[in-house]
Amino acid sequence: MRALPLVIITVIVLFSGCARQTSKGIDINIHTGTRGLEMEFLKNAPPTQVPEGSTFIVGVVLKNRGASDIHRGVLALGIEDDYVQVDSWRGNIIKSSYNDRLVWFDLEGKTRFNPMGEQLPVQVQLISDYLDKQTETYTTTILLTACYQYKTLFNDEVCIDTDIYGTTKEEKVCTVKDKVYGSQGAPVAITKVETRIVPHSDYEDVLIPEFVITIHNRGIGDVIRPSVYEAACTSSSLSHDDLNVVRVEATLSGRRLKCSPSELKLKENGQNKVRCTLTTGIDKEMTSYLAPLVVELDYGYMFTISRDVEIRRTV
Amino acid sequence: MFRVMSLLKKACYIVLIIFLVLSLGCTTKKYKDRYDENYRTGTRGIEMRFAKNSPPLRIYDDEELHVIVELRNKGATDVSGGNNRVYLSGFDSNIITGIPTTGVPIEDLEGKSIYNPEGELYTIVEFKGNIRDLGSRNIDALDQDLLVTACYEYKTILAEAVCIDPDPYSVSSEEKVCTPRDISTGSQGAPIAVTRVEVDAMTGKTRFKIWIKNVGGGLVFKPGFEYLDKCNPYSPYKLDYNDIDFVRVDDVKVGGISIKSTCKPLDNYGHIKLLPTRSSKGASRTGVGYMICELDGVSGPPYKTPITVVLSYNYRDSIQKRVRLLRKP
Repeated sequence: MRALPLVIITVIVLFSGCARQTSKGIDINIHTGTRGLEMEFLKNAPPTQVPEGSTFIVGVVLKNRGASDIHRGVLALGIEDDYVQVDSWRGNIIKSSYNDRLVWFDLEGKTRFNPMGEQLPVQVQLISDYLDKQTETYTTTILLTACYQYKTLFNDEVCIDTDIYGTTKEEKVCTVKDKVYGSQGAPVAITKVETRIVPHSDYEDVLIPEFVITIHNRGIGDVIRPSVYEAACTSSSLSHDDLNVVRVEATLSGRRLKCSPSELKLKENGQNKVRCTLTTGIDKEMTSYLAPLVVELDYGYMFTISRDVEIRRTV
Repeated sequence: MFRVMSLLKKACYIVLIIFLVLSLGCTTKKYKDRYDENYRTGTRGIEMRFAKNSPPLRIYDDEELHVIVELRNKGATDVSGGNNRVYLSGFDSNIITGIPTTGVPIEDLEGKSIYNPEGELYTIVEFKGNIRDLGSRNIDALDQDLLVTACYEYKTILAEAVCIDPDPYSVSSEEKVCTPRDISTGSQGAPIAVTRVEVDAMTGKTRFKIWIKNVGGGLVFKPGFEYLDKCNPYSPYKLDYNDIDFVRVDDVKVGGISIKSTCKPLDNYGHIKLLPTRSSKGASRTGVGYMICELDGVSGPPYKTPITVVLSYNYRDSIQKRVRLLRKP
């Protein structure tokens, strides 16, 4: 009986601990990190050696480690026709009716309720061909290329200060400054936002907020124009103009900004800058305030993993 | 046995009487202190603070923004009339809507007085706003700094005794009742204080160097409704260099005689400009200024007399709180 109060106190303490944990969960920031889709081979799938004329499994786990969902992502198998054939695919995928080396998949990204992102195991059963009589072993490379459309969603407060020359004695909640960022839960990141408030060329009482946004491919893959991402995983040809292209859309307080260029070509170092402007402007008489700047980057992304398999002659 | 009981009874009575006398003594002391207290002290005018959890630190976008601000008049001037207002600004009006840009009038707030040495308990002002849907704008969370600004008229009244010696250099064996000397006046229960009066006695006249300082941490500006209106953060006309750090000298009296007309440097409307002082962090809000006033044509033996300085001005104070708006899951 004496232990009863102790038990009650322990239970209350434990419960209050749980409650705190739950409320903290709201603060999880999923828009961080430079990862998007990740793909890795399962252990021994494929094995390092296979006998000729046998079936073997190539297994991969697709993990969406970014903050954007993937719809109709493409997984393309690259094999040498003379040595390996496709037998069948397994997993929660959509098979191509015209190409047995292509499958499509959907994969949910990180959410506040699933901060690790969704995973998808995919297996493909292959058959090794018989080797020539003169060949004892042959090493072939199995390639898996993932092509997918992805989004980077940037969201931060920027200071809108209409006192651009600092002449009034108004109390201000913020001052305009450039801000540097790391990542937003996607391989293409916004790394810097430079804010400028400039006078309107025609209207004296209107100011134009302008943002110079630096965009950087910080992932390990290549950026492709979003409309042609599937082509990168099929035999369709891609032009040089389709590479390293990111589509940019932005809003300030829910009002659309004009971004120039709207499709930005990243330079060789994977970076470039875009200028986004609120052409309708803001009233000069407004006080300083923090406004939400939302930038959405749309792009295709692709990367490849590979593993060598040795095919051995059977006696 | 009966005697012992009787003695015990007497002892009880004595203890009771001593206790009553002591308690009466305490009461008398308290009573005396309260009415002797100088209520014209302190450096504050209207003091603001956010009511507990209004606004809360986090608000979901389907909830109403409710801001309650408690106002206390901690100074010695009554705040009355509809011109004194409180404004809420600093937020994105595309996201938070429904906040009046004309502010909310401050209800009459009695200042400290001899009968109310702590100032009136408090009054509140309320702002209610709506938060626009964040989800449709692709916003998960948005920080907003809510700035509450109070703009009000206030007064500073200094009443101190100074020594006037019409013939300070006389060689006389006659004992003088006082010797003119500088006085440190501290504060007068207002954000603008007369901090020091330097007394310079000459034959037939006495000169006063009166130091005025902004000690309240807010912004002082010219008195009058047109300036009070400019204090509105939403006003197209902003307070500028010609408006801020000015205090109007309503009167300077020595022994009941006004010497305001002798005070310099004042502009045509009787304003004195306070100049910002430098702190280690650069320019601060603490403006300081002084005026020199003269009492002429005095004669006779030295005497002590009251000096009264009355200043009028408008004052701006502000408080700020960051709230996080969250998209409803």
